[in-house]
Order: sequence, then C-alpha cells, then structure tokens
Amino acid sequence: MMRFIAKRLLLMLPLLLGISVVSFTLSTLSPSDPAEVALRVNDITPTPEAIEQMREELGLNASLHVRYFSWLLGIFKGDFGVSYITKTPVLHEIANALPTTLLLAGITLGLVLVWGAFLGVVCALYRNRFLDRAIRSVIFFTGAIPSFWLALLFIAFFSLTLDLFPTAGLEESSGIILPSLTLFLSYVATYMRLMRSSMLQNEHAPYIFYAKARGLSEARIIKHRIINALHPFVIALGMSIPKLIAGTVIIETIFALPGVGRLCVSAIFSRDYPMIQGYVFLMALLFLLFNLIADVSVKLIDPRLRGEL
Amino acid sequence: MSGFYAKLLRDPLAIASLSVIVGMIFLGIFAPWIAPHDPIATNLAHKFAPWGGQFPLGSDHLGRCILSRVLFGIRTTLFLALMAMGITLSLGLILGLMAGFFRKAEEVILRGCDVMLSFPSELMILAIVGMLGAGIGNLILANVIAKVAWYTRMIYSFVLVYREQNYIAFAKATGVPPLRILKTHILPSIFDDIVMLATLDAGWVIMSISALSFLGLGVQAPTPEWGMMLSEAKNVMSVYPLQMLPSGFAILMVVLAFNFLGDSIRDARDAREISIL
Repeated sequence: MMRFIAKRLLLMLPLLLGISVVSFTLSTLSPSDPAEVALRVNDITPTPEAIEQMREELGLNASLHVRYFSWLLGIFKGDFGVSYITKTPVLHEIANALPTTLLLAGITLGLVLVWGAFLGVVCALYRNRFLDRAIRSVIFFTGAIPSFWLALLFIAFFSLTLDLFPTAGLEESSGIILPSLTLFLSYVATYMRLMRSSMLQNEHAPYIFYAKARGLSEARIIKHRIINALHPFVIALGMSIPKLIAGTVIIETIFALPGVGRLCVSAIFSRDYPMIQGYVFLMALLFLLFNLIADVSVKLIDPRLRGEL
Repeated sequence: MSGFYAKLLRDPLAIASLSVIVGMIFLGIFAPWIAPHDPIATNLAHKFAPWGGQFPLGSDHLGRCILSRVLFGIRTTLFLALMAMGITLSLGLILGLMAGFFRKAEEVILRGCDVMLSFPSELMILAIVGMLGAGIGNLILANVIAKVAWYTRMIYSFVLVYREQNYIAFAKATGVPPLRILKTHILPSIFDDIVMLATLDAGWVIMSISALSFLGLGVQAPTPEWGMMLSEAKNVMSVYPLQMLPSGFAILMVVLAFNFLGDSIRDARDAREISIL
C-alpha cells in the first residue's frame, strides 16, 4: 500500500508542475499591467515613474522564466506572495477563509453521501415502480435548477417570507443551513443516479446468485449489494470534493459567507493576481490529493483491487 | 441509424424537449419582432411595473420590459452556449479523431488531456476569466478550454470502437487516404454519439455561462442575459420578489429540455454510460 501511495505521489509531480505553469502563465497573459493594478488599488496615481518603481518592487522586470522559478521556489516554502489589496500573505488569507468553505462543503458532502446512497438504494429496489419514478423525477428537476436561482428562491421564501434563517452571513450558526441545502440539491442528482445504476448493475452478479443459492435472506443479500455498490459511489464522491469546493463560489457569494470562493471572486474583481494564482494552485493541489485519497480508500475497502499496485 | 431516430421520435418526452429547444431558438431569432419593447431602452417612469398590462412580466429597476429582456436573453445565453459548444466540439473532434486514428499523435494528445482534466472544469473557467478579465470573448474561451479535453477524450473513445473494424482495415489496405476514411467511414459512425454528447453537455454550458454572468464575470450590462438579470433581481428581491421568476424559469426550462433530450438519446442509443465530469 505504501508503495502504491508513493508511486501515485511521484506521478503527481509532473501534473503539479503543469498546474503551476498554467496558473503562472495565465497571469502573464492578463491584459492589464500588474504593477499598474497594484498602484491603482492603493489609490496611487500610476505615473510612469511610480509604475517603474512598482515593477521593480514586484520583481516584474525580470524575465519570464526567472519570475516563474522564483514564484515556484516561493511555493515550496509556502510563500504564495502578498495580496495587492490587503498586503497580507495570500496563504494566510486563504487559510483564514478555508474553514468556512470546508464547513459548507463538508455538510453538503455528508448530506449527499447519506441521501444520495439512501435514495439510490430505494430507487434501485423499487426499480421502475412509482416510488422510483417519483424520486427520480424530483431529483432530475432539482439537478436542472441553477443553484444561484434556487438560492435566491430559498432566501425569498425561508428568510424573507418565513424569517426562519438569516439572509446572509455566518453570524448565526443557522446561516449555514440554506447554503448547504442549496448545494446539496444541485449535487445529489448525479450521485443518486450513480448509486442506483451501480445497485442495478450488481443485481445479477455471480456472488448474488451464489448468495441466493445458499439461501441467504433477502435482507442480507441486499446488504451485500449495497456494500458493493458503495465502491464506485465513494470514488466518485471523493473525487467530487474539490469540484464541490470550487462550486461553492456562487453560493458563498450569494449568501455572503466568508469562504475561499468569495475571496477568489473579490480577488478577480480587484485584479489581485497573486491571490487568484494562489487560489487556483491550491484548489488544483486539493483536487489531486482528493483523487489520491479516493483511490487509496477504495483499495482499503476492496481487497480485490489491492493486487494491482 | 434510421432505427435510432425512429425510436427517438416515438418518445414523447424527447419530442417535447426538442420542441422546447427549437421553440426557444425560434423565439430568439425572431425576438426583435416578437418582443413588445426594446430590451435595453430605460424609462425610469415605468420602473418596477407590475405584471400584466403594458409589461406582461413587469419591468426592472430601469423600467426595462422583462419579457423583452428574457426573449433577447435567448440570443445571449442560448446562442453563446451553442457557439461555445460548437467551437469546443469542433476542436474536440479534430483532436479526438487525430488521437484515435494517428498513432503518433495519440500519446501526445491523450497526455495533454490528462493534464487538462486534472483541473476541475469549474476551477479552470474561474482561473481563465479571473486572469483574463470578464467579457463575452473570455467567457467563451474559458468554456472551450475547460471542456475541450473532455470532448477529445470522449470522441477518442468513440473512434476506438471502430478503428479496428474490418472495413476500416480494408479501406486502409486498398490505399484509401486517411482523411477520406475519417470522412466516409468513421465520422458517420460516431455522429450519433457526438449528438448525444453535445446534448448531455448543453445544460452544463448554459448554466456555466449564466452563473458567470450572475457573478458579474461574464456578459456585461446592458446586454440582456438570464444570469445577469437574476443578479439584478437579487438586489430588489425583498421588495419585488416576482422579478427573479422569469429569467430563472427560462434557464430551468432550457436546461431541463436539454437534459431530458440527452437522456432520451442515450436511452435510444442504449449506449455505454457517459459520465459528465
């Protein structure tokens, strides 16, 4: 197992390098001069001298590859540069905002895990009967609703009309309920369908046939089917965590939650390039890590896969 | 192939979805003649008009007719989405066919796809729009780059099914030029698969375009766009909650129609599972 993890970690290196190149070059392609931006956001008139001085200060005069390597070297030391706006280190800002996002993503993930698996199993057991069709219709519908519209409808109904939850912010802990509910409803469709189809796939698997031949009770056979159907479900869900974190951007902005998504959007509006770079790089890193964790945990659950190291 | 389309035509849900999509496109094309008002002309005397009467779906904070804006929004949201998809599909088709048919290109293209797919597409779009700035051009560029690797991969997998077939081998052996083989043998075979792929993806692209415009990173005012209209409605939601219904409903209708149609096509093809990542 250790060898497998080490191998995967090594394979991650070229990908990481690719990601760092992408997130770095994107900033050099931007239409506006970072030095000018840095001056403007601090209300300094960008005279040619001031721009020149700022370019020197930000190290923008060095050639492209020199700047890339010094940026890369900084990342190894955990230094993602300093935000143009707040003048605090990017890593510090992101670390401050991350708990909110992780809380939101965590609650959503928990809901998707429990309800996605539960509804998937129910639909598979009642295949093509009324319950299955009804659940699938509702889920199909929620999957097509734009999450930002759903969020607005929720706010209008639960917060403004019924006054049950705060409209925005996290001052009250109940402020997390509507955002996670919105995210959950837009994500659960995919995973419920996955659970249903993987339940249906192993309906005629040889081990089920054998279990029936042994005369096991229906309930125990269903238990086996559920456990086996959970594997692809867990992999897909594990791989979707970074997608979920990236998907919180809109929800955090609507509900004014102080998470990394909102941090990134406000960085985009103020052209805070070091912040955007840092966000993109760290999110991509998270994506790779969660892929690895999903792969490893699948191997831990399923001994049959351990041979293919 | 005819069996597939006949099967599709017997599916009432597919017909309904297709009618919604075609109807929407029709409304979009003829918006200048159908819309009761100019979608951009502001008139503060008519702001926040109620539903019915002169403004069937009311008017917004600048006195613009919401129905007209929704109708013209078809041009922005739906047509931009179709354009972005058209570009992505063409690029993906070229790369996918090359990877599937020319062994030398295979490794390079597939490894390139791996790197691109290691970025979640939502993140890729945010990164590109974030760095290059908001605007329609960058919006389309971001959607194309975010999805081209996925299309390439899927089309490559479609080609794989056919490239070892005997008639392809025969065509190669008799010296038919590769481009001709692609055009006359492979492309028609994978055409239905590609239609299915594009239909299943359409809802996602529409959502991504309106989501970015909702955040203010896509289409800019005053061009009517459904996501942007929602963000304008958001500012007045406590006083005029009805204003967020038309544009949200429009997005829902189109996305539902494409999703239903995609599912129907998949069922009619009885194809392998396609996962939208």
